[in-house]
Order: sequence, then C-alpha cells, then structure tokens
Amino acid sequence: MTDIVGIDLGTTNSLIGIMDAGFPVLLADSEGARLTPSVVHFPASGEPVVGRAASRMRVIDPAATVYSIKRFIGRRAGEEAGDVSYPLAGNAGAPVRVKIRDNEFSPEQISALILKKLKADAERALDREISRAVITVPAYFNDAQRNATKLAGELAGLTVERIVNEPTAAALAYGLDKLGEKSKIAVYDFGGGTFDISILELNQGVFQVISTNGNTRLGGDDIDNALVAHMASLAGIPDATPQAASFARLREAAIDAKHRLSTQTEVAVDLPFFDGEKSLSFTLTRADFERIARPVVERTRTHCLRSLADAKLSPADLNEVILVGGQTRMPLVQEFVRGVFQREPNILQNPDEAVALGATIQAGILGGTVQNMVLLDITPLSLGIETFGGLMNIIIPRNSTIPIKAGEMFTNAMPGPRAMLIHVLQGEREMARDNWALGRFELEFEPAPKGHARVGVQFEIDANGILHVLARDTKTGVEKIVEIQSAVDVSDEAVEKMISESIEHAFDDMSERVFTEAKLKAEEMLPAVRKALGLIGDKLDTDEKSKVGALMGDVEQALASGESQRLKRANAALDEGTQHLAALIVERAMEEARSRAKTG
Amino acid sequence: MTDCFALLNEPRRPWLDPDTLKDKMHKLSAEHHPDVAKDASVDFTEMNAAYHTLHDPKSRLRHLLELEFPGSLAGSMDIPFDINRLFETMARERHSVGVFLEKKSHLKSPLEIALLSSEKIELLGVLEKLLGVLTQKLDGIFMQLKFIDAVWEDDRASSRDALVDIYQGVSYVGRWIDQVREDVLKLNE
Repeated sequence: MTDIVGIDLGTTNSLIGIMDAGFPVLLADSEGARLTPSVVHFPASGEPVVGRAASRMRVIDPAATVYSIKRFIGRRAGEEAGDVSYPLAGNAGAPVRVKIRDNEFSPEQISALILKKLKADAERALDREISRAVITVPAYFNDAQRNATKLAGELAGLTVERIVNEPTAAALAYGLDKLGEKSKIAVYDFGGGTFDISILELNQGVFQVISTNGNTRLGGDDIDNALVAHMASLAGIPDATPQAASFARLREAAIDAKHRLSTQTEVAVDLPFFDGEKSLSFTLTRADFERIARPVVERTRTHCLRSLADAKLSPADLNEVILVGGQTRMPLVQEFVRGVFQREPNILQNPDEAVALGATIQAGILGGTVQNMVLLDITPLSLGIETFGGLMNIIIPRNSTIPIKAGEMFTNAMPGPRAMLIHVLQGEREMARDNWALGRFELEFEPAPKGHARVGVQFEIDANGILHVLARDTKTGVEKIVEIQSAVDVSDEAVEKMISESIEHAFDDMSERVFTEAKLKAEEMLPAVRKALGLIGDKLDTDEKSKVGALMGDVEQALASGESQRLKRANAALDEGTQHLAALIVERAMEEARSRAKTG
Repeated sequence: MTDCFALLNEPRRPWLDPDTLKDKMHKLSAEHHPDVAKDASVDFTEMNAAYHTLHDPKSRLRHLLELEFPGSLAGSMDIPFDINRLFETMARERHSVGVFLEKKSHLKSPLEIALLSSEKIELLGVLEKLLGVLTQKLDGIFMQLKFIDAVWEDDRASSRDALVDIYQGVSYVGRWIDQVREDVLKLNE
C-alpha cells in the first residue's frame, strides 16, 4: 500500500500534502514554498516551465504563459469568455484548446503539467514515489468538469482515488480537532476563479454536507479584471484587450494592489512606461477599491441565501461560518459575510491552505491512516433526463448524499425492436434545454408489442460525483453498462445551437448593434435618474448633485455623438456615479415600509 | 420493489422522526460508507437511497402506499377541497410576483432596480404571509399524519384513503412552499 497525497488544484495556486503521524502536512518545493502558482510557461524551445518560474514569465511572454486554466477544464469553446492573455483555439462547441505557437493543448494536459510538478516536488520532499492522489474541485463543478479533472490526474501519472469538493475538504481541516462535537457550519469559499458555499452538519466524526451552491465563473479573477478596467481607463486606454502587451503589466499591478489593500488603507500604483510609452501613477484607496470590487462580492449573496434555503436553516441555526480561499483576506469580503450570516466569521490563519489540508485528510481516510472520520458529500446539481415536451424530469435531486442510485423504467412506445434515445441532463431549470447536457445514450428494446418491452435504467452517482449508467432488460435480465457520449466531446444539436448563438455574439462587436443597445439603456436610464433625483434629491449634497448632473450631460452628449464606445462608457460612469443615489432610494423604501408596519 | 423500511430496519409506518432517522444514518455511515467499511457486505449506495426515500415525508408516504396498498396511487385522484382553494390564493399572488420579476429582468442599471424597491418590499410581505399560511397547512397535515400513525398498528386498512389524501397534501403544499421560497430568493436577487 503506497501513500495517497491530497492535492488542491487551484485556479491561482496549487498545493500538495500528505498525512504524517495523524496530521496533514503540506509539502514544500525545492525553494521552500508550499504554494505553487498554477501557471505554465512554454518557452520557444525546451520543456514547459511550471509554478513560480512560469509566473515570472507572465509579463514577459503573456501569449505563451497559461494561467487560470481551471476556468476552461471540461468546457466547450465559446462558453467561457476568452479574456486571457494566451490564445484559445477550437471551434465554438468543441472542447477548449490552448494554442501555443504551433501546438494545441487541452486544459487537461496543462493541468497535468501542474500536477506533475506537484508530484515531483512531493517525491523529492518525501524521497519516495507517489502514485495515488485525492484531488479537489469546486463543489459546483458538473460531471464533465469532474471527469476532465480526473483525466488530468491520470495524464500526470496519478491514480485518482477521489475527487473531493473544495469547501467540504476545508470543513474536514476545520473539524479535525472537533470530532466529538455536533454542530452545523457553513464554508464560504471564494477562490481565484470559483465561488462555493456549503453547509455541513458535524456529528461525532461524520461530516455530512447538507447543501451546496455556487458559481464556477465567479472569483477573484473578476475583481482583478474590474480593477484592470478601472486602471486602463485612468491610463487613457479604456478599450485595452487582455491580449494587449500592456494588459499583463496592468493585471500584475492590480493584483499586487488588491493584496496590499487587505492590510493597508491606501496604496500607490506606479507603472512607468508600462506599454513602452504611457505611464500610470495614482493612489488607490481601499474605499475606491471596495467600490470596484463590491458588485463582484455582492454576487455571492444569492448563493449564500440559496444554500441556507436548501438546508432549511436560518443564519442563527449555524454554529460557525468558515472563510476559505484567498479572496476572503479582503476586509470587504469579511464584512459582507458578517452581514449575510449575522455573525463574526471564523477567519482561518491560512485560508489558502485549508482545502489542501482537507484533501490530505480525505487521502488519510481512504488510506486507513485516519480513523473515526467519514465524509458524506452531496451532488450539487440535480440529475435528470429529457421527457415529453422538452421538460427535465429529475431523477436524483440536487443535494442528495453520494454515492446514490435511482432507477427509472422505460418502455417501448412503438411495437417491434426499437431504440430510444435518452438525453441526460444536469441542472435546476424546468426546461431541458436550459440545463447542462451531460450526454445521450441509446436504449435498445427487444422486439415486443407496444408497451411490453421493459428496460430498467439505473443512474448511479459515485463518491466522486461522477455518473454511471446501467441498463437492465427486465425480461431477459441482461445488464449492460451504458456508455454516455460526453456532451463535451460530441457535436450535437445543443452544440449547433451554441454555435449559432456564438455567431450572434460575434456580431456584438458591430458598432451599430452596440450603439443601439447603449442608446436603449441611456434612454431608460436618464428618466430614471431624474425620477430618483425628484424623489430624494434633497438628501444629496450639492457636490454630488452637480456630479450626477454632469454625468447625465455626458450621456446626452454621447447620445448625440453617435459613438458607441463613448456612449457605453458614459452609461457605465452614470451607473457608477448613481450608486449612492440607488442606495438612498432602497433605504427610503425600507424606511417607508417600516413606518407603514408601525402605523398599520 | 426494495422495501426501504426493511432495509434500514425501521418499522413500516407513516411517521418517522427525521432527526432520529438522520442520527441512525450517521451511525450506519460511520460503519458502512465505502471509504471506511471493513467489509463490503452492505451496499451503502442502496442504503443511502433508502434513507433518502424514508427521510423525505412525501417519498416515504409514496413508498408506504405502494408497499401497503398497491394500486392506490393509480388513476386520477380527487384533489382535496382545501388544497384546491389554497391553490387559487397561491396562484394569484405568485402571478403578481411573476409580472414584477419579468419587469425587473429588463432593467440593467442598479438605479432603475432601486426605484422598484417599494413594490418589491410589498411583494416580499405578501409572500411572507403566504409562506406562513402554507407552512401552517403543512404542519396541520403532519399532525393528521401523526394521528394516523398512532392508530396505524390497530387499523391499517381504513387509513388507506386518508393516507392518499395526506400524500397529495404533502406533495402539493411542499412543492408550493419550495416555489414561494424560490420567488423570495428571486425577488432578493
């Protein structure tokens, strides 16, 4: 029996650990660092470089330096915004590929390079070979993303013993020394590329996940991008694309400023000749930064409320809220969580390490070195099949403990030998087409009169959250494992539809359409601002009033100019400039409701 | 058909205390979950599926009816009168929420959405009240269920129709509660 390692394969950083005398220990690389940046650089010749060395190449060689690859794993091209500095390839609807010089790489291959580096570092630190691993994924990853992550592990020469959810892993690390207790906790996991919220019940060493919610496209990257856009507009290059050479420098400076603003209240940003000509120098206060970051952080609110509703709990029922992921270092995030859960959050000393520690504990449970702990995880998304009228028929509801199975009986609607096409879906929407298509399979019936052939299909979600399908003819008793054609690998109608949609999106850049949309928005916005000022203008000081007035003037002039980019910017500025006004309106409505409640 | 009651060694009856059942499942998991099981004689996946069936009152009732009174759920069923009446109220309130959400979905700027705050707060109040009515209704149905459970051992056969009604009540009201909760979440988004 060889050791099993625990790996946190993160959007920004990755870590690896192993159980040592009953405790999880993270392993450092040859430079003594436990955090390995999830960055791969492909030099013009020679082997790819991974980690810190690759990270340093981001500014120097942005087109050949791959970061945040986790955003693309198990995804189709066109699904995910390509706002990265390296080129993506692959037709819309086909799996995403990264194009480096003349070679194309799959996200699995790039992730495998990161895993190989972690494996090599661990082998050096332990002085023995490693072949088995537990790898973490965001709780809200779907079947395709889990399968792709597993494949990445295999490509790196690892047997993947378990795919475990990140917030759940963090809960294991938190609960390691609280095995005798019975409590309910929430894990708020805000990482570089993904957001998860999970609610768990801890009972005598049993860690049962009750509900989970999240967004695999919401993370610190979004905050960075918002800050970069702000800086680009200050620098007078508001339309800079991620592929522009200057972008990498701006992004580096933005991330650095974000980090420093967690402990400082203002930072100086100094970028002399960042694109060869222009320089940018300004002071960024924490308040400014928070104004930019708040809309991104606010987007986590609805996921928190949904996970509470699914768990049928109110914030007061929780014993603890744990913060995990690098973004939770931001005072703004801590304040936000305090507000939503109405309690002081538990701020871990190292929010970046909890997931890896938990993965290591799960490796210990599987390897038998950790006793008295067991994890009951759940499937985050409902599993179903398409039924009459294009509806989704749920077979295994979301938040079901895994491993679980459920059966469904199918019969032939026509006499004679027939095959029936079963379309497997994952998601929460009523209409089949709005959900994620996992794939499809053919069910074969023996020749029989209409309604007489019966085939039972068993859907099983294993402990990794991955689906297996078994079909059994109840008359012949013949069982067979059904191969599902993965929706990621196959081109079908759904993909066709995606392609046609992305072609529509291609026209988004067309100035005319952009202008029409911006014009509609401006024509709605201007009366709304006037109305708001009429309602509550007296609460604003003269300065702010004249500022709003000036922003409205900008929008009117931009409307007259017919320039689409100018109008878009003016609209955005007016949106931002009326944030305070909007907040006052909400406050007033709440005040009125309160006084009505008192008198009525 | 698998008898989930037998599988989990629970008496075959209409009411099972959810917390007691959960504690039992935790203990069984600590022993039989594939990650920690010493022997593989127990099919944990099946056990887990049985737990889910029994823990949820609606699926438990359905399972019980199928085991005890085969055919009782077939064919068209009369919807109890009070459930029907509740539906009218619910549909009316939810319709106005739907209209509001449709209106809101077209707005993009925070200020325009802020201008709808009063209307939103009012609708939230309406839904809150509706949720209260529905929860009370569900509690009432559970009371009936516990009552039937108390006389279950002595007289199963005559419980059949009442159980079918209760099953319908739990299905409808439970689903409506979920829908109204979803509306509340959407309004707050």
